[in-house]
Amino acid sequence: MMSSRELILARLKSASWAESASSRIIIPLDSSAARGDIRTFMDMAASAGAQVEKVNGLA
Amino acid sequence: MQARIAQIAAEAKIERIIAADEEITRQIDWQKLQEQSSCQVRFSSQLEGDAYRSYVLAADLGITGCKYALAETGSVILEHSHASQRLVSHAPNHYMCIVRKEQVLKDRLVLAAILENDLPRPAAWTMITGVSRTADVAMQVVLGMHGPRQVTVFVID
Repeated sequence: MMSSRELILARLKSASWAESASSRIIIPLDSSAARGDIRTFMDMAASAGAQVEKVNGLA
Repeated sequence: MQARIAQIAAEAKIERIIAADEEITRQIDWQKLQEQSSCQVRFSSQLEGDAYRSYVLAADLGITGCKYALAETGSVILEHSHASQRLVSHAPNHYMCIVRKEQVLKDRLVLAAILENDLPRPAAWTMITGVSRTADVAMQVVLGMHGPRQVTVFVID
């Protein structure tokens, strides 16, 4: 059974945007493979002791 | 968000704020915040040498944006340069970070792959996960020993 690290690497390497890459993994920021879930980020930051607030803008 | 920062500053009796000179922090109406809370606000780029260090070490609150954030760990990743120096996030008792939702990455593997190709490289990166916490001495958990005791993360939707 693959570890989570091996599984993630395998998924990254098999992604369509990675086909043209040689030995380096190149991840475009707008790729869905690179994007993190906002809810997960907020939950993890809060569990690390941060006060997390969602705001609509800087104003 | 400026009103919320002013509210937090008033509740915590914050007198001095140091902000990293970044595009995202410049968009906050600091003038209005100073009027609302009577805080003194300086950008890191406004001060040099000893004056900068003295102000940062006396500051109650440091505010920066971030380069990326990690959903896997709830961390923010800061990129440091002359305008965004490490003391802003490390020295004040309270640290605030502003995160745009498009900056949130999936995990450390994605971050490592992106940083490897992110040229030219900055002077340093810092990964901050929650408040500063250590149990080095007698296994007693102490907050704020190596960094901020309080961390607030604003996520811009």
